Amino acid sequence: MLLRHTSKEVKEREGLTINPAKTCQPIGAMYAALGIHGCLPHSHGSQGCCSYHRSTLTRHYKEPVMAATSSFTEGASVFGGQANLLAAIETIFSVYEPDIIAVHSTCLSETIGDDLQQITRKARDDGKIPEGKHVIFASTPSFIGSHVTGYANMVTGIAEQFSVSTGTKKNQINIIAGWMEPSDMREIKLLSKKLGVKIVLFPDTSNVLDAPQTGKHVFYPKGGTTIPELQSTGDSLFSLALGSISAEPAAIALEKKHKVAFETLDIPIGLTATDRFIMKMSEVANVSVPDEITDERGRLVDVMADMEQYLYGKRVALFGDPDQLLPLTEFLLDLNMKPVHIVSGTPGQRFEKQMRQLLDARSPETNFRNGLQADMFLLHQWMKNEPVDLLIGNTYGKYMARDEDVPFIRFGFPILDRIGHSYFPNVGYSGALRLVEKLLSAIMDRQDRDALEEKFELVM
Amino acid sequence: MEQITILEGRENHLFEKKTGAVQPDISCDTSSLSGSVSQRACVFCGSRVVLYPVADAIHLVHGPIGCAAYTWDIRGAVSSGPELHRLSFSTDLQEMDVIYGGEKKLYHSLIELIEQYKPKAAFIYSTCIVGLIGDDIEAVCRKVANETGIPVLPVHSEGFKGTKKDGYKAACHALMKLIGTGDTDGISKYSINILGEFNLAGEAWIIRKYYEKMGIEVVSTLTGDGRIDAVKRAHGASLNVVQCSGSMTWLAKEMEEKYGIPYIRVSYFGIEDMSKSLYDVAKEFPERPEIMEAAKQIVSEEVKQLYPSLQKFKKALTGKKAAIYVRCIQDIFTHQGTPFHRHVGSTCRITDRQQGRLRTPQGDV
Repeated sequence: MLLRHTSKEVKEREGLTINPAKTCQPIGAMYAALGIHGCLPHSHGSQGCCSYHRSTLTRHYKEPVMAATSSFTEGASVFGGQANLLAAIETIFSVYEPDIIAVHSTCLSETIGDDLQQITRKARDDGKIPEGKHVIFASTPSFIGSHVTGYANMVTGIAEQFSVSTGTKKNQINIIAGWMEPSDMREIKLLSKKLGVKIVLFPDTSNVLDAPQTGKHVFYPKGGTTIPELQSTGDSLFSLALGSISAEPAAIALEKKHKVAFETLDIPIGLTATDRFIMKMSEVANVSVPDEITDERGRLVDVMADMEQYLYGKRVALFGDPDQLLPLTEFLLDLNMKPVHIVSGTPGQRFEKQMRQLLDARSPETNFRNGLQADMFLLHQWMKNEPVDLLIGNTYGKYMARDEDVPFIRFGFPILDRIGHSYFPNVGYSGALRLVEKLLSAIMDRQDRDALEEKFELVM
Repeated sequence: MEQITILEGRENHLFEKKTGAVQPDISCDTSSLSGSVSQRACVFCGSRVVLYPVADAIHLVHGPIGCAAYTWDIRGAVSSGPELHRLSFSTDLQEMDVIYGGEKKLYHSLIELIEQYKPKAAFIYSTCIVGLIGDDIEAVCRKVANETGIPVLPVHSEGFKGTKKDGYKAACHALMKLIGTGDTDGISKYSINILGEFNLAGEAWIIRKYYEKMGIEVVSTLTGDGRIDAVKRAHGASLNVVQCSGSMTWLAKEMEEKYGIPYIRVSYFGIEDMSKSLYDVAKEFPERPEIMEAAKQIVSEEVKQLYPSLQKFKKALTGKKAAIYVRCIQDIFTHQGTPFHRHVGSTCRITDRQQGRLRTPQGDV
């Protein structure tokens, strides 16, 4: 078996990461930029980086992901990448014709000291940016944070560099999407519509990375937040940031620049987090919650009550990204399951504190670690020491699930071997219902598989 | 039909076959243009894919986490034994390491890894950032090799230093350091190394079996289902048989120069090429005609089995035009012997010899 090399004994490691539970910042920036309409993400670094990110996103979404590269050579690495980026901007606008180029840096361009702000200013001064077109940027060196913070940095760049205030407030609310799937963004829009709240959601990868088959390939699918929508975010009444790591920095930027007040909520995964989202929306937009949503909630609660016996006390190991792990852990606790091990490669004290707080109150014995050396190897070791009934995480978890022979639910990024995540939401009450269904199926399928003849039941 | 413009400077990377017109060679193997939507990988990726099938070594990526994350089990190369190559090891360089250097972290990581896994050797890949901050990887590798007693080999694969092909060469450099350090006692006169076969779906096992059936000893496979001990004694073989010529010709030439081992190029794609490979290898051992006899026997048996099922496809596909877009030119030859009229091909790495092979009456490039 692939992971038979994992030893049970846990030793503190000084430098080594084995089987990472994170990846680097630029891919997050690329994903965020794809949620802007007519935008071509651009990787300012070696050509390999861009290819890795494109292929990972393509494999995750089974959709073509377009992005350009500065294609650094040895010369650029010595003399700086300004010439490459200026040439790139010219090539992109003349050949690929986007409305926006969203440039993100890499470890290479950051270390040699390329200043994206200065280079894009020069591009503008030199007339390389056609009238009505935009170049935005975000700093995303790979040696800081993770893919999640890279996403946050690009979303912040989008907020900072597009928003304007006209002095007249608009009756709308900004919803800043933390790292979530296009299906989740679609669900957030649907819920807002049901509530009757006008929102600007950004970024919005729905209709970009889940685009329908029309028989014709388009470079820029019809989805994505538009430039006028982004510009209007400075006039909005309020911002709701969904996710303290991946969305809040953009809300802070809008508050600083245009005094748009904000509040940060968890991504609405599970019953309680969705309750908070719906109540907050109803409060800030001053609308009442329609029966349609109340009924959705009721259906979820009904299933939770009916099926709780199968989930009660089940031990779960999970790994992934902060803004998803928090509400997901909370939901597992709401279902009376036991999160036994939690790992995230994304560093940061904020997340550590939030997770500790949740666990201290409801499950103090849970093993939790994030940041350096919080990797899948550690999680696997923990699983060997304290076995679980279920593993939840991205595709790489399948190795551990197979090795330990536990049921496995794919959740997070990347999912390279299944579909569904881009089409069926995890957020909202319907998303929570889907999660419950997945949890139940995983556990009950295993129960069926392992049941003795006399315990193999028709009705469960 | 909608006309698509070709990027300036890339005109020679495409050509249209026109009757009577002069056909220039296709350009290739240059970096992508700045600003192009490229799927081209980097030097590091080249090294990683060539070396990583060596299954009983550890492959430590010295750099930020992304380089290790994206190449984790990147091609699904399979092993019949240990599977250390399918794990992802990284020094996960942080800002402070970039400022103060990552040598200490590399040293500790290596010691931890070797203690944990007791590998036969370790490959250390440098990434872009390591090339910039100037970590002395050679020195760390020497130190760890001395302390642990296993070969610890630096792979100079900084991403910006060229194209994927330069990465192949960096990988071959590392392999050359291993080759020649093992005992060649007992190796048959009728022996080969299989070069440029990576066992992505178990092909190396099939090919190895053919050669063994012919009475030929396979000393090592570079690098599919690879083992360090086998690599170390590869210089004891009488012939190198190179399949993926883009990645391994350099190594074959080096081995020819240093150890006097001749090499031939083969292709295992399609019935014609596969058969020719076995015959070509047999021809290298004329003093033992049984080898050729065995090769003929294998080809005859396999074709007998294959031919009837191919007829169904042939009937369905005859006269159809195919557009082929590939990274590796060998893939195009896969279609040799099929009834397709090959219409379009595009690739990143192509050798002069391959250019010639493409210009058949049956194919357009």
